[in-house]
Amino acid sequence: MTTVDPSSHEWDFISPARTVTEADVIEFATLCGDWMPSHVDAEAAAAGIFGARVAHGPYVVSLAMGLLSRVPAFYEQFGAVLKLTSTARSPVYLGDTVHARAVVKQELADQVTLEFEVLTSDERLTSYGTFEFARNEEDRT
Amino acid sequence: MTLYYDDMSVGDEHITARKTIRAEEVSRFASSIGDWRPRYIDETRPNHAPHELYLYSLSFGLRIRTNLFNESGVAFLGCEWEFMQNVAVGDTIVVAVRIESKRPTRQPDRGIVVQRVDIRNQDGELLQSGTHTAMYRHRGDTP
Repeated sequence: MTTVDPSSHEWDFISPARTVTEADVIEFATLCGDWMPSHVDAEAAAAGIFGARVAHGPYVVSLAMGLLSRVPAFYEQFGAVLKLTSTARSPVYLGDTVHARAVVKQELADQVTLEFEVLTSDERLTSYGTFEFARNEEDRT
Repeated sequence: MTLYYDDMSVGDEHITARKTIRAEEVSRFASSIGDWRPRYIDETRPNHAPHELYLYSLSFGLRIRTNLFNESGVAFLGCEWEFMQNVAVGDTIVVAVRIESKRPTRQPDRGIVVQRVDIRNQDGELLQSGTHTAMYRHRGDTP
């Protein structure tokens, strides 16, 4: 298990937390069509490598963006996503409460690259990566 | 049919089913991940667009629905993704999955495969392109 010292970085954006529920995972499977047993079949998942149902990898990445968008400064600044990278470190289980945090790594005139992490409430790192955003000129008021 | 690690040859390409993009699903996606930024939920804005991560996520589902990787896939390891063009509501998209590289792991029954994932609309325009890295089982003695 990878744990992260929360004081080891300075973060520009720290999101609120959210508990990932069965409803969230089924909603994601419904919208995206990924009904793999590791996500939606409790009995098969119990016998699999994670020992229980886990959230989809792209859901965790999407959730990171959703959680970060609830930080006002993030909400206001960033528009279209241009690129992303993500690495899965440990699964998000149903019932895990997760939050995301991000730091600006590179700023250009019209785009910004952030590094992000998604962590459980006991600071277990589940995923990390980068988002490259276009600056959100049109939405600034 | 299942493709195990041993069955995946670099250069092989697999085409998914098509999916028509519907406004309800796009909107539900942005709402359910909690991303309520105006560009995604306010259709009166000039920069209104379907959430980019809906199409990204949908490509993972279409890839799984080929039934090639359900039995062999062990774990998703990561991805690198580029977003070239927004999808439009009413577009019908299709995903091409090409085996880009593969390597063994220390575990003799598992290997890691990088796949190139190209998402195109009905006109063949490339909307998003990325790599998908995951661990797969070997065929081994599986009947």
